[in-house]
Amino acid sequence: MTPTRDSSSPPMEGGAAAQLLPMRASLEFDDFYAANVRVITGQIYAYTGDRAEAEDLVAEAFCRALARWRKVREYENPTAWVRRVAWNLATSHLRRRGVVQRFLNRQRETHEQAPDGDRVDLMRALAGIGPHHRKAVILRYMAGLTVAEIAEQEGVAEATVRSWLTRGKAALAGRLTVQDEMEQR
Amino acid sequence: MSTPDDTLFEEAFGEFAHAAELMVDPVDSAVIHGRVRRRRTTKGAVAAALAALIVAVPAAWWLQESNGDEVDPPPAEETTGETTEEETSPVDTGTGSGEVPQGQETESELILPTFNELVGAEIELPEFFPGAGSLNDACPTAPATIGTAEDSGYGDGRIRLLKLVQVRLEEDGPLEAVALFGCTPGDALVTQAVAIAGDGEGGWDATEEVALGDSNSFPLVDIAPAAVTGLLLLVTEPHGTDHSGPLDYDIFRYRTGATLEDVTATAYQWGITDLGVEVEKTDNGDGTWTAAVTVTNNGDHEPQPFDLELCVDEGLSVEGADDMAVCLDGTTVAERYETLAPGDAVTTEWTVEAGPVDEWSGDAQVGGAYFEARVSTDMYTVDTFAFDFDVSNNYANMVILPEEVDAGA
Repeated sequence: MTPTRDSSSPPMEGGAAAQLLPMRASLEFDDFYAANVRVITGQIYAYTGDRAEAEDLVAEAFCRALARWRKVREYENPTAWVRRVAWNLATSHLRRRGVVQRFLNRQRETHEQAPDGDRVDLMRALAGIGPHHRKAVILRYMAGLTVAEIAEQEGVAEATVRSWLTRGKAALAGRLTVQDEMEQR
Repeated sequence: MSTPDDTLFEEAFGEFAHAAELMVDPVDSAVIHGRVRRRRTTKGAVAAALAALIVAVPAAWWLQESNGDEVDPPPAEETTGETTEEETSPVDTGTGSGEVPQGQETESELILPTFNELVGAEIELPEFFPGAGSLNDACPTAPATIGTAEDSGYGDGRIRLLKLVQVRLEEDGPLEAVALFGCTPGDALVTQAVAIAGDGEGGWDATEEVALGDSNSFPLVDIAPAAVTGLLLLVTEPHGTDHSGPLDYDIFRYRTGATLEDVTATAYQWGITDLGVEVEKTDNGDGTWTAAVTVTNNGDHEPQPFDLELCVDEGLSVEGADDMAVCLDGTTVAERYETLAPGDAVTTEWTVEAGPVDEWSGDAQVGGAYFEARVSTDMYTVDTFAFDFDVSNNYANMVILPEEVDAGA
C-alpha cells in the first residue's frame, strides 16, 4: 500500500505547519508501517526460513525508513524502498551464512519428506532452492511484483528474472505436488 | 515433471502468504520510533560535541597566529537552502592527493606537503581518543609515524595517510593541505582530518584539527574540497561490524571559525553511489558454463573509477584468463571502468570450464565450485568523494554443482 500524502490537507503557514509536520509525518509513518510490516515480514520469513530473524531484519528496514522518512515518504513507492532494504539485509545475512546454508540446503534436499502440498512443504521446498530463485519466486507470487518490478528491485535484467523464475518454479515443482493436485481437481 | 502454470503458483502462494503474515509477530511501531530516536540522540550529541570542538580549536589557533588580534572574519554568506551552480560543481583547485608540486609555497608562505612527503614522516597529531588516556596507546600520535593504506591490517594501530587535499578553509584564506589519517586499533577504523604544513625545518606540523571520527558515533569516511570554501566531510550513519545493506550518510562543511554545517542537500555528490553486481549462469551443454557478469549503477550519481574483480574455486578455469586467481588466494582485476552513469549497466561474459570433480576441494565437492565476482571502488585516490554506500550487493557468484559436471561428463 502506498501511504497517503498530505496533498489533500489544507495548507498551513509558518510555525503551525512546522509544529504539526512531525506529528503528521509520524502518524503517516505509523499507518505505513501497519499497512506493510506483516506483508514484508512474511516474505522475508519465507526467504530466510527464520521468523525471529525476519522480524529483526524488517524492523531494521523500517528503522531506516523512519530515519529518513521525510525523503522516503516522497518516493513514488515507499513500500518498494522498504522492501528493497529488507531484502538487501536478508540477502546479506544469508550470504554471511553462505557455506553453512548451502550445506544445510543440500541436507534438506536429502531428507525431504514426501510433499503433500501444504504450506509447511512449500516452506521446506523454498528452503531447498537457490537464493536467487527463491527470492524471485517469493517476490513474484507472494509480493505480487511483476518481472519488471523484480528486475528493478534487484538491479538485474528482466531476462535474468525470467530465468530465475523459470528455474525456481521448476525446482519447486520437483518438491511439491502442486501439479498433481491440480490434475486431481 | 513440467512446471506448473502461474495460476497454480498464485493460488498456492496466496494461501501461504496469508499464513506467513499471521505467523509473524512484528514489533509495534512505537519500538521503531524508540530505536530511531535513540540513534538520533546519540548521533546528534556527538555531532554537537564535534562542532564545538571544531569551533574552539581553530579559533584558538587563529588568535595565536594573529597575536591576539580578534580579526577572525565571519564565514562568507553561502547558499545552504538551494542548490546553485557553484555548490554543485567543485572548484578546480587542481590540488589533489599526490598532485601538489613538491614543496609548493602558497601566497601565505605555508609549506604544503605532498602525499609522498608525509609517508614515513613523524608528526605530532591530535589524539584519536581525546581524554581517554592509555587508550591512545592503541593509535600512537606523539609522534605518529605515517604509513600508507597499502599494508593495512586490523588491530595493528598504525597511523595511515588515507588522503591529502588542498582547500581554502576560510574565505580569502591561504590554500592549506588537509590530511585524512586513519587507524585501526581493533576491527574498526577511526579517522581524523588535520591541516598539515611545513614547520620550516624540514618537518611537518598539524596546524588545525578539522574533524575527528570514530566508527561508533561519527564515522568520518572521506574528505573532499568544498565547492566554494571549506572542506566537505562525508559521515555515514554509525553501524556495527555486522552491518549490511545501504548506509545513510551526511555531508558536513567545515570552515575555520564557522559552525559545522550540514550541506547534504546541496553539496556535490559525485562518486557517492551504489554499484551492484550480478552473475547469470548459462549451461552451454558442452562442459562449459557462461557467466554473464552485470555491473549496475543503482545510485543517483556517477562512481569514481572501479574494478570488476573475479576469482574461481580450484577446479574451475576461465577461458582466456589463465591467470585467474583462485578465490582462496585473492581476486584478479578483470575489468576497470572509469565510470558508469546512474541506472546504466555493463555486462561481460566469461566461459567457465570445470575440471574433474574428484580434483575439487572438499567444500566444493559438497557445496559446488564457485565463480565469484565483486566490484570495488578506489577510495581516497581522487579529490572528490569515492564511496559506495551499499556494499551488500557488491558481490555475486555462480556455482557449478558436482552433479552438473557429472551429468555432462
